[in-house]
Parts: sequence; structure tokens; C-alpha cells
Amino acid sequence: MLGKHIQLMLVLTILCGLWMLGTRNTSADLVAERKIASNLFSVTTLSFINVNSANMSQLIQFFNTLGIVPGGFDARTVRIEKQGEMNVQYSLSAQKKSGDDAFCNALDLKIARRDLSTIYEGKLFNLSIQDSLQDGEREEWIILVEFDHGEESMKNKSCEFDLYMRTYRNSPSEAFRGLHATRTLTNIVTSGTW
Amino acid sequence: MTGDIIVIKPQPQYNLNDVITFKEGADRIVTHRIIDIAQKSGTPEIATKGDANRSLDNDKITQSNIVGKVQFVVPKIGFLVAFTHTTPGLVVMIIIPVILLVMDQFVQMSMRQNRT
Repeated sequence: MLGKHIQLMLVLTILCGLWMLGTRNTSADLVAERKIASNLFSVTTLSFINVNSANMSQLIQFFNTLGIVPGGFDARTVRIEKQGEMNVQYSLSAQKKSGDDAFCNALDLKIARRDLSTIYEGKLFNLSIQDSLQDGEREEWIILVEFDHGEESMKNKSCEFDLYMRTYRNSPSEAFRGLHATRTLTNIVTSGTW
Repeated sequence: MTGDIIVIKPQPQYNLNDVITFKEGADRIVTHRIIDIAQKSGTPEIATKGDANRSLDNDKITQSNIVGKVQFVVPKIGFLVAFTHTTPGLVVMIIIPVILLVMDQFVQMSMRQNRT
């Protein structure tokens, strides 16, 4: 026969056991730590170049057209190559730096590939191109600036503008962030007399 | 710590720095500290963090996720609890004591019958 104390201990053991069966686990995160090992972070480039299609020299000054008259045009060629490791998304736009507003707005721009397929045709300052360059790919462009207006007020005017090209990883409409590169081709076009 | 047990109690309201136990996802139960309480469209969004974690938990919780607030911690008893959840633990903590008590009652009953 069991003594009273032993009976009491057995009852307490059973009660404790039943209580413990009713407990559930919780993650021991009061003093937990996460370690994520073997991380790899690499940085590459989005660099690219604008080069003279004749001699591969670096292009900075592009159009330097003096004395353009109504019906006149000037042409330049440019080769765009990807130099970095990542494929390049790029945007191209024209930005006025100085000059006569009416004359600048009267200038037209046409961009065609070497096979003469048209990339852009329209007003100079409406230029907005977004495209991408893949590995081993290069763009060879013929760019024409045209002037078709014959107003007296446009004689002896000048227009200085940049062809502004940038690569990006985020959307081109967003502010710069992350890796990017920019290249600027400076241009000046002056009108003559007629 | 691993092996500790915590006793929790539901509260009508939870405050900053309370250590709470909450449901994360379908079946995971986590005990973390309240780091921030932000009102979003009238519902408090609660940010939590483990004391030893360097970063906040990814997902914010609401009051409906909370099981209760930690009242106190009993160190090391969790190992006994884990043992109780095993078959040998069930035998040691429940079955053997029950058998002993039942047998004892039978012995007492038969002794009473013999006396009468």
C-alpha cells in the first residue's frame, strides 16, 4: 500500500504531466540570432563609349555646323559600344544649352542605323530613345540635323545643345540610383544668311 | 533560452517593450519583443524583434495574431516538457503514476474486503 506522501507525489506528477502535455512550443527567439553565410556581392560596370565611326577616337564634340541655310542639313556618324559586363539599357535625349529658342526649335533630327532603318525622325528636342545593348552588339548611327525654315528672324542664330546619353538599371524616368553612366555629345549649329 | 518555458496571458492591450507570443503564418508560434506600434487605417500594426536579433521581423502583426504576453519564464523546465511529449515521457509522467494509483486503490479495496 502506498503512503499518503507517495500518493500525493503521484497525483502531482500526473497533474504536472497533463499540464505539460497542454503546453506548446514557441520559437526560442528571445535570444535567437540569424546568420546567413556565404553571401556574394559583386559590382560590375555599365560603361559604354561613343566613338568616331571612322577612326574609333572618343567623340565629345559632335555637330559643329556653321552657316546652315533653309533646306540644309549636316550628318555625323557615331558608334556606340558596350564596355561593361552588364547589358546596357540606354536612353538618348537632346538638351538645349544656349541659343535662340526659335532657331533651336526649328531644327529637326533624324537618326538612322547603318542599314538606313530609321530610329528617330522629328524635332530635335522631342528626341527620346530608350533601347538596350546586348553582349557583342554595337549601334552604328547616322545622325542628321536638318533646317527647313526660311524666316528672316532665323538668320545668323545659333543653337548649342547636348545629345545626352545615359545607361541605367532602373526605369529611365526615375531619378538616378544604383549603377549608371552618362555620356554627353556637345553640338553647336549656327544659321547663315539667305 | 532553449529549454525554458514561458507562461503567457492574453491582455486587452499590448504596449511597447512587452514580450509577446504571437502566431506567425499558419502554425509557427514566436515569442518576440514589441519594438514599434504604428496606427494604419485604425488598426495597430505591431513591429517585433527578437532581443538578440539585429533586424526587425519581416512581417508586422496585428493584435489578432497575439496569443498573449509573457508573464514569467521558468528556466530548463522545457526539457521536461519536451520529454513529456515523447512516448517514454508519457509513460513516466502519466501512465506509471496512474497505474500505481489504480493498483493501490485495488489493493486497498481488497484489504478492506478481507477485513470484512
